[in-house]
Amino acid sequence: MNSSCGRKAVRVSWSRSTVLAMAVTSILILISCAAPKPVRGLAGPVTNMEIAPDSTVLILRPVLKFERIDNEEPLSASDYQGEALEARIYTVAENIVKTRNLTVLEARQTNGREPGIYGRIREKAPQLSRGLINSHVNALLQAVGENNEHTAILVSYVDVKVGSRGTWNPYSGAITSDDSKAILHAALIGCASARVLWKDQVLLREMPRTESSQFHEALELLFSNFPQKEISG
Amino acid sequence: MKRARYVTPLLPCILLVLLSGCAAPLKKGIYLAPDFQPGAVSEINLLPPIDARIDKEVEVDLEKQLRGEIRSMLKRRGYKVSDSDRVDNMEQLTEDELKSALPGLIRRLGPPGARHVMVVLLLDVKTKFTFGSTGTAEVAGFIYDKESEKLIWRDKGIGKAGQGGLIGMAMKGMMDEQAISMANRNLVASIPKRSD
Repeated sequence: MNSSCGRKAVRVSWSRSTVLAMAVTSILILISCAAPKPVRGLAGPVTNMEIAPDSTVLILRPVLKFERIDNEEPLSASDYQGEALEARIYTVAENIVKTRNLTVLEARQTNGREPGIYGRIREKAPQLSRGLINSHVNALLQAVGENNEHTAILVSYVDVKVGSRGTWNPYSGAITSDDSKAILHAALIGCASARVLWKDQVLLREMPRTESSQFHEALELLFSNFPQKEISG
Repeated sequence: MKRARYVTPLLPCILLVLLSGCAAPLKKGIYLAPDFQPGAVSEINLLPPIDARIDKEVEVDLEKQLRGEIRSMLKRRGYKVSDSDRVDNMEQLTEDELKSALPGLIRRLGPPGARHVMVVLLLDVKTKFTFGSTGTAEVAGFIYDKESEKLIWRDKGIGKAGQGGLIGMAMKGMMDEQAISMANRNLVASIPKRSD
C-alpha cells in the first residue's frame, strides 16, 4: 500500500511580496547581529622613529581598570576575567615584539634593577600608555635605561567602562543597547630618552572577553603599527 | 457625613505629602564640593564643548546639541549663563587633565573676569541598527571656581534611546540626537537648583 495514499500534497505558493519581505527581514537580522568593529583613535598611531637594531623591549604587565560608566565606581577585575585578559594582552604584545625581531627583556633579567622599579612605573600605566611622562616617571625610566640606552618599555592599559545591558519594553517597543566599552592604550617608550617611540589607542564597543573575536581584533589593531626594527648597516 | 467632616481638613496635608513625594530628588553626581552654595554662583560661564570622542563617525553640532541644550537646562535650574569663546589649545584638553583640576589649568579657562566656568566634553555617541535602532551617548561636565581655583562639581551623563520594529529602523537618524539630549539631562540633573 502506498504510504501517500489518502494524503493530498500541499503545495505552498509564496507570493512575490512575501519572498521580498522575508529577504529584507533576513538581511536586517544579519545586519543587526553583526558585532561592532573596534575603532582606532582618529589621531592614529604616533611613531617617532624606527627602533635601533640592538634595542631590547621590556613588556610591562598590562593594567586593566574596571569602572561603572555612569558614576566611575571602581569594580573588581576578578568579576570580569581580569587576569585572563591581562595574560592575553601580554601574550599578544610579546608576539608582536618578537615578530619585529626585537629582544624581549624580562624584568628579572635586568642587571640588579629591583623589580620594584617596574611596579612603580606600572602604577603610572594610565598616563604612560597615552604618552604622558612627568618628571617623576622620567627619573624612573632613566634609571631603567642606565645600563642599556636602547631599552624601551612597552606599556599597555585598558580602561573598561561597564554599562548596563540592552533593554526592551514590550509595551512601548522602546529598546536600548548595551553601552559597555573598553579603550585599549599602548605605548613604547625609550627609557634613556624618556621619549614616546610609538603609541596607539583602540575603542572596543563591548566588554572585553578572552573568547571574543572582537577583543582579539581590537588587540591586533592596537599593535598593528608597532614600529619595525631599524636595519643596521 | 461625620467622617467627611474629619477628613476634609486633612486633604491639603495629604496633597502636600503627595506633592513633596513627587519632587525629583537631586541626582548624586560624581563630585560636588561640600561647600557648594548655588546662591553663591551668580553666573556660569559656559565654554565651547570639547569633542573628546575616539570614534567621530556620527556628526554632532556641538554648539546646538551640547552648549545650546545645557545652557537652557542650567537656566531652568535657576542659573544665569554666559558663553565665552574658545581658549587656546582647548581641543587638546583631555578628561584626565580636567579631572586633575590643576590651578594652572583652571586659571586658563574662560575670560579673566569670570568666576564660575563650566566645561562639557562629548565622550561618545553611537547609533546602532538592530531590530529597530538605538543610540547611546556619554558626556562629562566640570564646573570650576576660578577664585578658589578648585573644581566644585563634576559628573557624567549617559543617554540611551531606541525604538524597536520597522518604525524604529526608520528613526535611526534621530537616535543620536535623542541620546545626546538624554545624556545632557542626566548630566545637569546633579547640579543643585538655584532658587532666588
